[in-house]
Amino acid sequence: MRILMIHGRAQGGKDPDELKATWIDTLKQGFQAAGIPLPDNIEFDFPFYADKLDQYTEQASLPTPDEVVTKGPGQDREFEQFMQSVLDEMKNRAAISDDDVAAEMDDGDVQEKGIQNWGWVQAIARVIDKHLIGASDFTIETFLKDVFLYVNKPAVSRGINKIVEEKLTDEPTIVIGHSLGSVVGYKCIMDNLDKLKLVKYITIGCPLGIKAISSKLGLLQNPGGANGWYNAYDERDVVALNPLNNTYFPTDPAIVNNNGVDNQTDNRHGIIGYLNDAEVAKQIAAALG
Amino acid sequence: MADKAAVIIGVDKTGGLPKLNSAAAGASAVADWLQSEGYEVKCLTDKSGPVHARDIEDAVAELVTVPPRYRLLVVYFSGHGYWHARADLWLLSGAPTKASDAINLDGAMDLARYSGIPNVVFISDACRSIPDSRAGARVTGIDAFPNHADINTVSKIDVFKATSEARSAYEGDIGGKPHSILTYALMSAYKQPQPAMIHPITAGGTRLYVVPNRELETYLQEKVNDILADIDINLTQNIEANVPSSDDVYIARVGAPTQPLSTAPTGGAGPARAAAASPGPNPGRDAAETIERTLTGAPGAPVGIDTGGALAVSEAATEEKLHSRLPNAAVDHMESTVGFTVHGARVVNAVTTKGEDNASVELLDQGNGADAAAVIRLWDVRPAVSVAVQLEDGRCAVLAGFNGYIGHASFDDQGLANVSYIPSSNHWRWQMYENEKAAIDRLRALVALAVDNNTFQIRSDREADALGQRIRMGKGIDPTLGLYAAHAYSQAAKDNSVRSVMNYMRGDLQADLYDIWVLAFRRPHTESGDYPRAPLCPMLTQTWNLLRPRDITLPPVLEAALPHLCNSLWTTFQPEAGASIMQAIDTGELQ
Repeated sequence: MRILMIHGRAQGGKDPDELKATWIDTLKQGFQAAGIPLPDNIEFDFPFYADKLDQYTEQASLPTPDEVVTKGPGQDREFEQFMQSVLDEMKNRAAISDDDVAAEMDDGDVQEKGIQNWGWVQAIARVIDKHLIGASDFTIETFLKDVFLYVNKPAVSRGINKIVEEKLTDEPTIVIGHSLGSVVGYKCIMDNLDKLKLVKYITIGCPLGIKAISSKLGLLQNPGGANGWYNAYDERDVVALNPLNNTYFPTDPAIVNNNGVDNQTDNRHGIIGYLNDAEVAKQIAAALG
Repeated sequence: MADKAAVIIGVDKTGGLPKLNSAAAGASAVADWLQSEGYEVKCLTDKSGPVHARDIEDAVAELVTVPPRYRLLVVYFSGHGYWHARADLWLLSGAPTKASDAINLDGAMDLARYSGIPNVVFISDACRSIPDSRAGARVTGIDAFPNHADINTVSKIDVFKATSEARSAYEGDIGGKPHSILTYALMSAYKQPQPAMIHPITAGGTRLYVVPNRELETYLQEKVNDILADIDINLTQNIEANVPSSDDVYIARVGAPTQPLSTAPTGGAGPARAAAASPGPNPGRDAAETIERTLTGAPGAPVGIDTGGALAVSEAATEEKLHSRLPNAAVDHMESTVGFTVHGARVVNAVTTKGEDNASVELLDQGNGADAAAVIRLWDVRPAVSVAVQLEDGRCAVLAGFNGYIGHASFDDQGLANVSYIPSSNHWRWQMYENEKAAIDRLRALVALAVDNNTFQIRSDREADALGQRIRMGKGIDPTLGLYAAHAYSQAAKDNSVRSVMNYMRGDLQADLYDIWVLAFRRPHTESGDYPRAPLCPMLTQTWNLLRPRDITLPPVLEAALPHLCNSLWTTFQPEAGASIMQAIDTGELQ
């Protein structure tokens, strides 16, 4: 049995062997918490695409909300529209009030009555970074850039998928995807349905329920079949904004969601706060048979 | 969980129009049929109360969601219909008194392109009558589909219309009961299909037999002909269809065939399918078939009129119509390299926007509407301007003036029928044009004829690529052919090809043609960049129906002119709007 682990963003420049070891160690903690031994005969695969992603992000030079405010919209219309859509959805779902946003706007900001008010959008991003993500090296802006490039630019998704697909085999495989890695995992699985013997797909801290992302993936499917896809998240994790249910990610059969994870990392999104969860471990254990 | 959905609409009673006998009942029958095929169906008929535009909008919104849930959506309408400004309007219970109580089919189709549902099929069993009253002409309808900004993939839109432009569709007694003719024919296609229409597919491990949408057009026309022949030999109803979807797109299954299936190649990439016999000559279809043969390199040009080699047509009537679409060879240059000739009408006035160099206009000859063309010369056009010409009868047309081009315009009783842009012979582009003059002029005339008859379609990537090559003139693109090609690419969901045309033309003209600007982007105002546009409104009448779905707002004088658009292929305003448009351009209110 193989476990294919697909990391998320912001891993560029790190040592892939160390990251892999962190994932496996954390998984062991989860199994311990569940009172189950982690079998010895598992092969772990850890495709490392982070440096490639950083290259793409650098090449793309996408504007941040701050830059849109200072230089004006139109630098990259498609990305600007994507940012707005995601931030609006986060504001509404995370119950961020208009007062909270207004409090983050710069003094003297004029409230535009037009179609786009980038000062407002910028303020939403600040609220999310300050109050929902907390002090960490993760910002919503950098997350948006990476995800936007991956779901909207075929050259980027092809380049990253190629790295992941090199690890695919014809052996029974559990795929675990975290954060952007869960989007990458979904696309790689869907593109390789005839090659991959998928036993279970486990997503953690998964942003697939955000409509600006799911709307780019065509008709949505559950490649794992009944009980074949388990999605776990901390309700405070702004990246895992929406469950993968009939409203936000309709599939037949439905995806099993668990919103009960207590992710102890600063931003509630870190991998070590998900893989040490007992329920996640139980799902993996059950799939291991 | 259903992966197909349908919105089925049937309205028997609309305003003071005659009450229909079969629209609501036929719609209910279609709804029941599709439900039995596993569709999620929303059925709205006036059997149980009025049907209004907002009801349909709500029903569509429940099915067209983000993220998308269905692979196929069928939208069916049976009832009264108008055809105005080259757009179809489905009339609902409150029309025409409530001008918005209708569905603008063209607007709906445009928004459906970004529904996220891979295939959307529109079936319009309605008349396409020209409204005969001011109230009728002011029915605008709504576009009915949601406008999801997050969707960035283009859906394929199949459409079947019961009749041709400005003509009626019928209901009649069949087997002792009233039926709408197209609806009856449609359901017959699945009850008693011809063996050649049936395709076997495997779905979920089960062998199914289906009729792909691509196989429907010929059958429907033949069936409608047969039905009408039994009712009244004087009646004709020419189906109009555009089916860009692939062979695996079908509305419903059929029973297992009793005869062996045909193994003949199918699909748009193959040879042209023989069309069902429409009564009398059909220059539009003849032109379209000639273009298709040329683009696909299909062997065996027909024995017939042969004046253009590979561009030979079959019918004398077609050749005659082509002649009126060829440029006026008598005027091949202007001293300024920019101007127009106008045939078929006497011109009494011409005005222009200023462009970047304070352009001016001279009406050198008013013409006589018969053998003597009007001649208009422009000066200091950089890079493009909008020119309005007013005819003796008060009608007005707005044209794009491009540096280095003579526009040859011809009017008929409907309005501006054709415009060909030819390089002025004293401009550097002339050499490139002269090398390919015969072929380009003939192709342009054929495409114009096909477009005017709604028969110009791109059915495959091969045809799209071949067309792209054929419309090139040096490093640029023939403006008229580029305009027609952009529309065809857009209808075939090939938005990248539209943008390719636009980029070539930008390189040559340093400006955008208004229609191509509209077609190239989903949100032209926010996505298109900063190129000057000409003219200041759509050149082709059909493009006006795309402005609202694409969030393009018009200046007040053009908004007020909308009800006065003629049904001509190229934008023409009736006298009621002509004077105000002329004045707005002359004073600089419109730029």
